[in-house]
Amino acid sequence: MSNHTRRGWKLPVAAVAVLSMALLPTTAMASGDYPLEPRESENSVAQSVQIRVNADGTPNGDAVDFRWSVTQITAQGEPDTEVTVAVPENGALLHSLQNFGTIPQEDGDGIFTIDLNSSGFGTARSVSLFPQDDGLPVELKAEFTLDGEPINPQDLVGEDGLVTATYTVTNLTRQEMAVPITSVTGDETEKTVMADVPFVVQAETFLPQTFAGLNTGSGLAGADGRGNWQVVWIGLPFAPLSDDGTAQFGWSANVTDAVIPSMVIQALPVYIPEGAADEEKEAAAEGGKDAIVNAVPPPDVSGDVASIKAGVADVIGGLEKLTEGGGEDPLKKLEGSVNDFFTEFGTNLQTTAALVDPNNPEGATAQVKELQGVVDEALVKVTEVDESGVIDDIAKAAGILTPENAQLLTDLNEPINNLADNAELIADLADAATDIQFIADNAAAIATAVKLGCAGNNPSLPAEVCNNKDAIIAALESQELQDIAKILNDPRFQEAARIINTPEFAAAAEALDKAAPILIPLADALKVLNTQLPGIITTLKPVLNGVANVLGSLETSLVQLSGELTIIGQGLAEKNVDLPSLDAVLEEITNQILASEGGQQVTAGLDQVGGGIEGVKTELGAYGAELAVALQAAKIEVDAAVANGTEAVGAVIDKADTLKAEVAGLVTAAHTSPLPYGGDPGDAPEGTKLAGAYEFRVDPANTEAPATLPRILISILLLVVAGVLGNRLLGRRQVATAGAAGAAAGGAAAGGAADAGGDAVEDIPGGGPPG
Amino acid sequence: MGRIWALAGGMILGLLIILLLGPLGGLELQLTSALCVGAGAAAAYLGSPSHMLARGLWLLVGVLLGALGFALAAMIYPDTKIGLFLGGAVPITLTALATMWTRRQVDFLCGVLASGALAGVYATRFDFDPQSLNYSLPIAIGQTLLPLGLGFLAAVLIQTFLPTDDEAAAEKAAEAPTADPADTAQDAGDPADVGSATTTEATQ
Repeated sequence: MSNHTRRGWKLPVAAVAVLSMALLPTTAMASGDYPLEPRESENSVAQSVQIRVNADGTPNGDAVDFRWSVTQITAQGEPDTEVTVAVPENGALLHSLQNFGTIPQEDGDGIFTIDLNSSGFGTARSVSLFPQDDGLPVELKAEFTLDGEPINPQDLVGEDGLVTATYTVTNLTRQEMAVPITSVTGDETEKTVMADVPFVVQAETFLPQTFAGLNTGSGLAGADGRGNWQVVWIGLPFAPLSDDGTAQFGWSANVTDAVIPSMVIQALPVYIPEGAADEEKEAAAEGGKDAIVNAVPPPDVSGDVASIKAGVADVIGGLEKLTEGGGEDPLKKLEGSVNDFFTEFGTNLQTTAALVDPNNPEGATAQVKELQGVVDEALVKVTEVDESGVIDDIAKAAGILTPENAQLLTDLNEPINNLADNAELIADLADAATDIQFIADNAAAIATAVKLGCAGNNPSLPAEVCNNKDAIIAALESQELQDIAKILNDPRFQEAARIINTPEFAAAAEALDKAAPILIPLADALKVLNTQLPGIITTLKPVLNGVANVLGSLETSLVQLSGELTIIGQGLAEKNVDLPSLDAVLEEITNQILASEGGQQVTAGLDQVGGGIEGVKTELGAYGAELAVALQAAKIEVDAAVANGTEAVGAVIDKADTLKAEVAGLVTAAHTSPLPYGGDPGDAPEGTKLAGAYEFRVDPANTEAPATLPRILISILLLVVAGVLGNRLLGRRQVATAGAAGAAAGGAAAGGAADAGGDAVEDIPGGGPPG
Repeated sequence: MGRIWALAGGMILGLLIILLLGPLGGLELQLTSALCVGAGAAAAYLGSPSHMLARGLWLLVGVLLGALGFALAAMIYPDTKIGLFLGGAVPITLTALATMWTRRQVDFLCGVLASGALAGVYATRFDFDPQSLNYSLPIAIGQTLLPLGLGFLAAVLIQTFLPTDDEAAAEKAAEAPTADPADTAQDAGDPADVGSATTTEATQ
């Protein structure tokens, strides 16, 4: 395996893109990447191993494992010259298929000497027996069931029921591989992944039309016009398309008088030349396509199969083209897009880190701290309220200041204030109470005195009195004077006058005057508070406590997240843009690839294959979907990490890197020599292009082989019986016929009769040498 | 019944037996069975009816030599026009070498007929199976021998009650010594000659 690393992670991304493309509707139809010119002067080598196996996939020879390796070389060069091409070849009994004799082998190479004709063209073909102890990179296993029970294919012959056939091609090239990649963080790193040499598996068989309800799964079926379903399957047994490096396919049907037809299964390694010039790579791609297209199936395959082969070849070609550098290389755009994505992602991380930086006074952490302080203060106050007894006081107040009392107080406001305003007068009245009582007690005498003093023309009392003597006399003689005197001298009035004259009363009157407008609403409020406040306090305390706890945790998380994000973000770019949608990135990537030449070729190939092989698209699509899901999951993980501050963002990066490394391993493995005997393409003779394949030729399971021995024995018996009967029954007649013929010959000279008779005589038993 | 129809009937009967044998008969190659049945019958009719056991055995040997020729083609011959030529020429040569000591052309012809029949069967078989010599060739041998044997047996049995062309010509010549031999041979196929079997048997 090569350690080539020059391409960096361009190749893996390319493969990701190629496989992802299957997700999208085809936009570039099969315009055709058909060659219009031959390659430049080069030698082409195709080498395949044809493995003869029984219907169950086991070798069909007991003493010898018949695995024939065939090599075909097409050489071009100077006309009428001779070229020598060395091809890795360790097989036994190596001999030419174009001439008599063997082909010399040196140091594991077959040395092919090829005469070029006058046009500068020559070919060589050989066959050898693949070394018995050498392993193959692919393995075939065939399993059958009858009505759900496993059964040997030969035992299945002639049975009726539901038959299933499952063929498993296992890629045995899986190996642990250290792949250098550029991490999404921009760091150069190396990851160890399991990688397979990519193989394209194509299988073809002819299933009898009598197979009822035939289900071929991903296989495509057509009619061969001879009562058979012509079925073709395509499989891709390599990671990450196949977790275990297998391709499985098969069929199920309700079968009467069962047989298992023969099958041809090809496993074609995808080979991408490494480090070659663009022209050579292009030529190699053509060579790879040739190897695929020129490989069997049988010559009577339908146009569908040819289309499928061409489509697969286009996919391979497109993959190779996409891995080429220079020009409008979509890989660079792809690389840029992916880098942009992660760069912007990193920027966002940095922005987020700054946002949650505890040292940022405007940051979220500081705001959380401030909020936490407010909540703490509120909690203290609420606690104080709860513990102060004010609630009880409010209850008492509410009991006292009922709305009725409030109304009464309001009504009393005016008279009380009047009292307060006249407090001095009332005090004077109180002080004059004794005098007034004296007047009341002597009212009659005073009235008499008034009368007398005002009598005559020269009254003795002043005119002011006399002018009002009637009113005065009436007042003095009235009961009201007596009552007033009594009231004023009542101790309660005296006490009331005293109170009214106190400053407290004045203040109370003033306060009442001020409170009067709000007494009724206050009473209502007290009533409400008395009803609601205990519940509010009871509820508010735990809420505030919870908020305080959350804020405390949030602050801790934010501080921790800030540290993590800062570490991650430091490795990324400094641009400050929004985190792009991953869907948009994938769409951009896909569009760029689709717009490229290689992308169109691949898409066209897929479309062509899809015309017959939906299985390919399904598998690629499944992988693409899986990839998208993985990336979406990665995005979700990132989002979750940012949101919660608890997810390890490093795991997301590791996942992305692993994905890159897996595809890098796949493409790196595709640099493996496709030849069955290995051989570094870089060591191949200049201008030599290599291609290879493995072909399982699966024998049928039917009555033919089991019937052969009894058939031969019966045949020998027939021949012997017929011979003995002939000798016994015809031999005696020959004697008589010869006699008759002899007589006829004696009686006539006709030459014709002599001819017949002569033969007869010659064939008389005992007439010749002993048999 | 004319001798031709009797022979045709015998061969068709042989094909019918193969059909009735079902899987043992090898239904896939029913068509090529006609070639083998004919070859077997031809072997029985070569020259005068003698050395039938030897003919039967040489049919068997011819099939084996034909198979050997294909095996050699697969292992040694080049896959070219020369190789294809050798695929036909070598079995003939081997058959000639093997039968040379018998000094009977009929043995050689039996061998060549059989190896030719095998070539026809195997060429067809080659297209049916995934080109696996060790699997297909034994099947081809069996599917060649069975109709060969049936055709050979049918022809032998027919000859026991119907004269061959030569015998009929000889009888004609014996009955009319002055008759033109050509006319005699032509008349041998007439239905009226059916009764000559009785005549032949009477001579035994």
